[in-house]
Amino acid sequence: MTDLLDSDATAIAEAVRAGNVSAREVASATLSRIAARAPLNAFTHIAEPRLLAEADAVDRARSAGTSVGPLAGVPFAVKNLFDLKGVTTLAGAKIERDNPPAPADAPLVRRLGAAGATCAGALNMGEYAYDFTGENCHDGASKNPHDLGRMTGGSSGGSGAAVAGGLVPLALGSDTNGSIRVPASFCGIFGLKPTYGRLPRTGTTPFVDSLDHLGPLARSVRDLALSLAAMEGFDAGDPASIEGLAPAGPADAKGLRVARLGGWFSGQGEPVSDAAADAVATALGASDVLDLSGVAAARAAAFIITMVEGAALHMDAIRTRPHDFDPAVRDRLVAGALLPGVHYVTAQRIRRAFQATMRAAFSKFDVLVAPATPMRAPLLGTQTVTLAGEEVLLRPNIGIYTQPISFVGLPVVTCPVPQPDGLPIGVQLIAPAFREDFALSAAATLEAAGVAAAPPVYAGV
Amino acid sequence: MADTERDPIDTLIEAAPTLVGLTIDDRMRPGVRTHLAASLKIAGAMGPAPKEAAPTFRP
Repeated sequence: MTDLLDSDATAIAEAVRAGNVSAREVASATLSRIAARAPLNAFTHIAEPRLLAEADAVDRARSAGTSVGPLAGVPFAVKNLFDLKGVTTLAGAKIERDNPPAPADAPLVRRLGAAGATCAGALNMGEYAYDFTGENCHDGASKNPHDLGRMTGGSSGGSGAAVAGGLVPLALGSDTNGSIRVPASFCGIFGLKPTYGRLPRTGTTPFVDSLDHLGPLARSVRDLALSLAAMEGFDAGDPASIEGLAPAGPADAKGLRVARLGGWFSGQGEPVSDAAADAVATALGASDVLDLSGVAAARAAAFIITMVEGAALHMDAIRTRPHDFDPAVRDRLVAGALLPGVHYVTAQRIRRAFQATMRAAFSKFDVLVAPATPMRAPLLGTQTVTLAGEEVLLRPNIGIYTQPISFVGLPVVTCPVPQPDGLPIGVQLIAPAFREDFALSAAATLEAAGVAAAPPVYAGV
Repeated sequence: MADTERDPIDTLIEAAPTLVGLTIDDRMRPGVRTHLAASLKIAGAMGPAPKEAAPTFRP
């Protein structure tokens, strides 16, 4: 069973469908693994009865000869901003704890369940997703499975810890400015931020409506593709959800034109971040280095939109319960409330201009390669970091490479690049809007070549 | 800065009750001050935007 838990979702589903193992056995082993690796602080709610009941349902269906789905018996868990029926949705916040339990699962949870997956519970996250570290002042920090003294990254920190630590093979997260891609990089796993509008956000706690994305984190590219296929589709509950969108294609695109992003996306971080991106670019046959214009303005505009929309969302609670927030989150939200509206409109105009820049780039290339983070997982509690010879605040700089890309809603697969000392770092594979298949195909190429890999790891005892 | 000049960040913070119905107390003030100053600097760094672009978005 250990080997199976350390494999991936696709392998587990194949074993369950073949009858080599029951979904109940997988679920029970998963619960034992979660308990044994509790120091990761990945889970905020372990849904033991639900997991076992759903596993039993899969086993009964298989015994009856009915279809058990492509994710049969695969345990998964969700960032605790997803609604799970009967569980209070925390969004990492103290303020949400007295709310009634969610009346229904979020659509993405329902869709995974319909594909045969079994829900193991809810995962730790940064408060209201306004976080890049994985440090939550109410629930404690999620811990990096490679080194429990280091950050998972955030805000989907529990998702990163749970997948990298071998607790579950599949987790869901959200990504507004990098919150799937950063923990994927720090924890050494694959992460997919689909195109804005591809996956509906109904039944999740928003952060920045015009920037929020949902997506999977996993230990293989095929698991990203499998879970995306199970989850995609329109839902009227999310105004950004796109109706009539063709499903993402399979991850088998050939002859991709690949370029390494230079300029802003090079030389700002620790040398290991550029070395990893260079290695990926070389492995994919990239022949060009592309220096995009307007990236600094794009990143600045994403920063402003985040502050203003986040403030607008939480203004009532800021007025009535300011000291129940994490102060680091609250003070940024308050500052956002005081920013003049003209800056927000300017930021949205810049967004349209940068979208045109990226479309022009994708007329020449299919996949763009960039570092995911400017550093590997910092030690917990780190406040400053030295980048390009200058000591700067850590938190605002973790997302310098992710923020400009989510700003224009492009699909990205983050690939984990193992390092000799064991602490991995991620690289972004960026594709044109709605061409998740390009990024997944490039990631599969890297995985097959051994350039990218996400073996589960647990550094605890 | 002359003694009679007000720091514009402090002016904004003190206007918060009028602007957004929020009083920023002493526990919040240092953090808000830091983030407001930083964000206004970042806003200034966005530079000019094309005037014809509408503030709506679809990928």
